[in-house]
Amino acid sequence: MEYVLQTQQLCKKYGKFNALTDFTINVPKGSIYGMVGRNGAGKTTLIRIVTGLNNPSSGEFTLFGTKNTDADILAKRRKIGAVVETPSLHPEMSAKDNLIQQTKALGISDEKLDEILNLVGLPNTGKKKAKHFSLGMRQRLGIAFSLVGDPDFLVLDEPINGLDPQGIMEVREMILKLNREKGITILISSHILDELSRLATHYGFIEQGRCIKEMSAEELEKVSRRSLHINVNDTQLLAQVLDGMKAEYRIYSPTEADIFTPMQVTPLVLALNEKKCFVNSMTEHHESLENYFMGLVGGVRNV
Amino acid sequence: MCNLLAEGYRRLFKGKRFYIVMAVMAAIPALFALLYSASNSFMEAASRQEGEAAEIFADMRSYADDLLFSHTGVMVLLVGITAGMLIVQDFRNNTIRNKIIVGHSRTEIYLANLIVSLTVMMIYEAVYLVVALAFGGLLLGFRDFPNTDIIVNMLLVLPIEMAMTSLIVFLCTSMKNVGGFVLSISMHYIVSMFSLALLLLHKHPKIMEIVKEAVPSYQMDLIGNGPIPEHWLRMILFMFGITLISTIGGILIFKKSDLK
Repeated sequence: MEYVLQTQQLCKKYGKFNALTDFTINVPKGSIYGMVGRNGAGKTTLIRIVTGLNNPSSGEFTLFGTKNTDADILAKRRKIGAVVETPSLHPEMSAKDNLIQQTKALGISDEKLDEILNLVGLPNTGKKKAKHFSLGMRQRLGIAFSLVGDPDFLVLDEPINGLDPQGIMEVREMILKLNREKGITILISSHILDELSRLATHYGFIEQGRCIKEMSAEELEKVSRRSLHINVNDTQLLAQVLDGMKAEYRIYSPTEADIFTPMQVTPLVLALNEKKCFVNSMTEHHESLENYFMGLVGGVRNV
Repeated sequence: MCNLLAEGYRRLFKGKRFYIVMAVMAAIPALFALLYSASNSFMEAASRQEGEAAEIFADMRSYADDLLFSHTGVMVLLVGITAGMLIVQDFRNNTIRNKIIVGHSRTEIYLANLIVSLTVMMIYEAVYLVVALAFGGLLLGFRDFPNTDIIVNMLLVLPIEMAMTSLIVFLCTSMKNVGGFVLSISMHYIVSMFSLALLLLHKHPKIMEIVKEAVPSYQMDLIGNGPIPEHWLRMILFMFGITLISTIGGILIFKKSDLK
């Protein structure tokens, strides 16, 4: 498989704090690679290193097959577009003027700018200065910035932050379009895992500066367990019953839980009834990306 | 590098700050010329009186020559406001990222900022001198200008301003924040405040002379309407040395620093 980005035991220290420790990921060409991790897990640090904003403390990475220590890495970076955390804009300039600035830095013509502004949903902002843009508009302009150089690899750090539901949908469609029609490889980090699960073809699960697991969306689908989501009057009583049945389950709240062990519903309800635990609702569903991630890092009480 | 310069110049010329400060730069010699002109009228009136005071006032006339070297201190402030803020805003708005992400080296970014800042300095210097020579010359007339010493001294101001500009770029790029900007525009005044400390060197006149020649703010005091300074070559070398060292130091710091 051809990879756009590969990191090998990448480490980054800020003083005594290890932001990345032996961090290794592989981003396949043509993929939408979703980075899943909590706040402070190291997602943005990785993005900063890959985009050249931060220097790694040790380890290395290859970008389009070129090591970060090679002089040629700067030429490879030309194929990157990125939005890192907040969009980087000139507040006193209009949307188009902002993009013209970037064409100057890249030494390219500005004939495609209207097309890019259309693509990100900012076609009619006229002379309105970027400082007067809403958060969502800034986010879109930030994405437009990253597209000016016609990149082969797009790095998006929390690209849907601040967007309204329609904006989220439009950005999702845009990302999918860029990936499918232009073949752009996309590395994306987002806290909104439900949204990420609609986009990503590959995942990297990140915890405490390490990539603890990498898998494709197909692999995730295979390993995602079916579960029975149950709403009861008391999950403590539910836990007693399920322990007796040696079932695997996860409790989310005093009334909500997921049961992963396949079981007949009637015996379960009868057993619960005996303990005065009453079932309000039950739904069967596939384990979500969020649940899988929480299970992986042990973020929720897992008896 | 050319692309970075194009980006930097566009940002510079698109902003209002460059033009506002340029207007201030033009207004300074114009206002001083008007002030000197009013002062000259007063002196002339006073010299028509009889007595000793009349003779004193008759010798106190100001000329456009007096404007030619009175801007060096304020030049640092004004170049700092335009060029320093241009650099610091690039960090504050995080727009510097856009250049690094697309593969521009930090050395090129630093040098492009330095060149843009030097351009600002040259433009402001030219604006000041044009107004001082044209408007001041018309209003006040010249005493000695043009003569070789004054013209050479005017050229000697350029290496000082180049060194000061490179220090502005160094401070703003290294500190990346408004603190760096404030320090850069006030450094001339801070250094001038410590000029009294030179008195501690009164027993070592040679060392005092070298310090005066090596520190840009003190070197400014050595250049004026008088004769060409004795050690003019050494003074130029000192300024080129400061420019070189601050630029190399600034690039090394910038290359090692992590950006937000």
